[in-house]
Amino acid sequence: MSNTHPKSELIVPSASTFDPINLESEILQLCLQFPNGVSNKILENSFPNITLEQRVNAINRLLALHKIDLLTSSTEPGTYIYRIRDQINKSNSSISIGNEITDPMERTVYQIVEESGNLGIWMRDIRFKVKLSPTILNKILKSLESKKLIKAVKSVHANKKKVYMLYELTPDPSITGGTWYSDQEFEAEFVRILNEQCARLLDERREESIEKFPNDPFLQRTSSFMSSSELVSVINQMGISTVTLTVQDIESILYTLICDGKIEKMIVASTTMNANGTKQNLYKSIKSMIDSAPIVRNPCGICPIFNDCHDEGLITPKTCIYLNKWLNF
Amino acid sequence: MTTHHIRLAFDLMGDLFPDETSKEVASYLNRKGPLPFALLVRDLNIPAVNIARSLATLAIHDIIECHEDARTNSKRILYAFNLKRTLYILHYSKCIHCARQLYGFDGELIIEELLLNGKQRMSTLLVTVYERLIKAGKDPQIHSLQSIKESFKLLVSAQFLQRITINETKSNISTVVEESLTNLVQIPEITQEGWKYLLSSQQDESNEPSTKKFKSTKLIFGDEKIFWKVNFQRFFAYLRDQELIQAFTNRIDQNAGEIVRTILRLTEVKPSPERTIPISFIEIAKTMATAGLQMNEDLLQKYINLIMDDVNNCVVKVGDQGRGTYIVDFQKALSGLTKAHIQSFLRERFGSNALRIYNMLEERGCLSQKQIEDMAMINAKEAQQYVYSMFIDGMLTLEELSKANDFNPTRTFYFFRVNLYNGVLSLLDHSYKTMSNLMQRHQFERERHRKLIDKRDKVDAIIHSLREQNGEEEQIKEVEDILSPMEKEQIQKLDAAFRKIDLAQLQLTETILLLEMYLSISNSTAPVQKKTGSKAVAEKLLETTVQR
Repeated sequence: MSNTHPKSELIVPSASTFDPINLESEILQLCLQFPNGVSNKILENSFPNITLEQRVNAINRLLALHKIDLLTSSTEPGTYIYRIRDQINKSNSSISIGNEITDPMERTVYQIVEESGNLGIWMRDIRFKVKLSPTILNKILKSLESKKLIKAVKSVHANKKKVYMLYELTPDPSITGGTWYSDQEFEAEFVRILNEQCARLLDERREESIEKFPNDPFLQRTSSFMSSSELVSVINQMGISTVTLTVQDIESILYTLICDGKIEKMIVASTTMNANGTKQNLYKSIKSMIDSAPIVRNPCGICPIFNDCHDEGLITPKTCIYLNKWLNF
Repeated sequence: MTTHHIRLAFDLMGDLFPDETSKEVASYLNRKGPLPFALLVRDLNIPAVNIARSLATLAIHDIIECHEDARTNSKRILYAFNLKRTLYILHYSKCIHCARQLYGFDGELIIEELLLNGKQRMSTLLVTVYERLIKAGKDPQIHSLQSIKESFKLLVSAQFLQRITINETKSNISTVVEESLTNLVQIPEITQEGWKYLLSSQQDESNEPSTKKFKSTKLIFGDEKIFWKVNFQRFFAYLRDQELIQAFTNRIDQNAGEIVRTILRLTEVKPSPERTIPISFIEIAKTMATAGLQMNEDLLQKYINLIMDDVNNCVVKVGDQGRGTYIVDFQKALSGLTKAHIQSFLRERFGSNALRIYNMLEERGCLSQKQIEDMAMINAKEAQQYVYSMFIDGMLTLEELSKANDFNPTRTFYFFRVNLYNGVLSLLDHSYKTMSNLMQRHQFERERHRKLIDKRDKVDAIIHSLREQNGEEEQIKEVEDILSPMEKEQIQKLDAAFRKIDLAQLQLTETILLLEMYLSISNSTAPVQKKTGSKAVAEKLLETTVQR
């Protein structure tokens, strides 16, 4: 605060005669000089000739005109600082909408929501920040929502947890769940189709390579590999998905295929440079070691009530309907 | 050892030894542990003669073992039930089938006779097999005693038969000595006199059983103390090899299967349960060429490179001598095959999504419920169901990790983990019960249609005798008509059903064999289920971060 004194000395003579408009512009000037905010003390020192009432009037007018913001000081609790409105944000369309908010409480809430960005903020966290009662806060949020200034987005992680963010923002993938979610619902069908398509493509590739090199097992194997980027471009061309899929998206699909035991993965050093660096993931469809385990070829292997089956009683192999069907009785 | 395990064992025993005494004695011994004869007589309400007889029979089959009481140093002899050996009965049909494929009719009958009688002398065995062959209407020109002996020799040299001698030095118990490797392949020379006698009985070609003659005239064949029994381990190894070859054929192609077959055949003579002896590339190429497979060395090398990368990498290169030396690691092979069986089982029983979760857990080590839901790309609710149903069936294990030692659910992490050993135990139990169920159903249907089956048997017998006496076609037709069309239809249905059950049982033995071999060879054990304390938490977190 010591460095404020020389500057305040400069301003003093100009404020010798009281003029409300003049005072307001002086205060604004002062605020511009201190982008971090001006405290009451600085104001008092800068304008020693002006009464408290005059100053309060001027500041209130500036606040009403949204020229400055009133904030609580972080360094000295209990005191307030005045800060000039962000010049950069002024050009932003969201702020110009936000500027239409007249209610100060709504404004504060709006600001908090704005700060949270595209991650959104939970209602409880807003309440902690503004220290408003839940009913009032609810009302404010509702009114902001009806003005289409903010929106509520359901998080995929917790069904009931709603987060608020500015209306025109796209929610972060961690909230919507990324490509595989629409309306906070997991699109199992979409994933299944992609899964099948990838498997089909790799299968076709393997059959092609077997036809191409009937006498060379090594070439059969190597040419049946497909890289993930290759698969992405093919799948995007097929137009299964309305959104363009990324390599990561397809790789997570391919991972499920690996777990399904249908394909295998090989990592090789790539010859051409790509986004991944020098490594490239190659995939190839494989055949199972056995056709099917003998145990599942009879009804007992897949019997849903196997654990309730006993020698005597209602469920017994002697009268089992599954066995009857299997044996054509 | 589970209820289903024991149950299946006794079902099998009941099939092979239909007398009630054997089953009763065995089950009593199973419950009580090793017992002396006197206690058996006292506790069981069965005449001592019968007990002695069934003990003797079962001992010949190795189902009951007798040994001296080591604790009291007395000369008491204890009888113990061998559950594991009892389950070998399951694989009898496979062994017989094997012998037939490898050594034709003679081999099949030799193995069958030995399996039915436990242990036998070569001389008696040759005679019985010969008689059965003649009875089955085989040409005596092709199947002579000499040819049967040749087959016997082959079986012995391939170690499918095991030579044992009776050691009677001890006074009260004749111990059975399984001989060392060098002696194993030696075939006893039958004395000139005995051989002549055998040949003469062959030339008689009389259909009357000649065994009676043996008993009356005490001839010395020179192999009185040498008995033979089936070497099950060898058969199992052979069956396992077949599975392995099939796996390679499925994965790569026919040629790869043939190469693996060659490798396994070259190394089959000195089997160790865990790996084969090293075999060089040159040897493989040479054998392939003599077997008449068209493959140049370049291609062979390519195939071998592929084979090394497949089926859980069970073919391993161990050196460079002889243009590359390879061994087959059976531990890896078996765990690969076992995994394939478990995966197939899971896919059919719970669906492919469950299989996905299982494989994911296997790859990632352990995951919490939440992580599984996120990574499996299926609906969270479905994922939960799959995890829990697999957990109930014992395919997954749950690890509880508590921050405090009170295992308060809110402060405990629950991790699911795949443990192959546990999964195998669970699948094996499932297989045993399935086998029991199929046997039970078979039995039940036979009882239910007893009358019909008896009638059919009678009709068949009449027709057979009529044919032998060159009966009139009309007459035969008349007899055939004893069965009404309805009955005929039912019999057909019944036969089809029995065939189906038999086939299912036969296939199931493959799985059981593989799983049992896996259990015997694997050294892992059931995991620790609960851990607590900050140290464990830290270890777990470290483990998960390393896996990431």
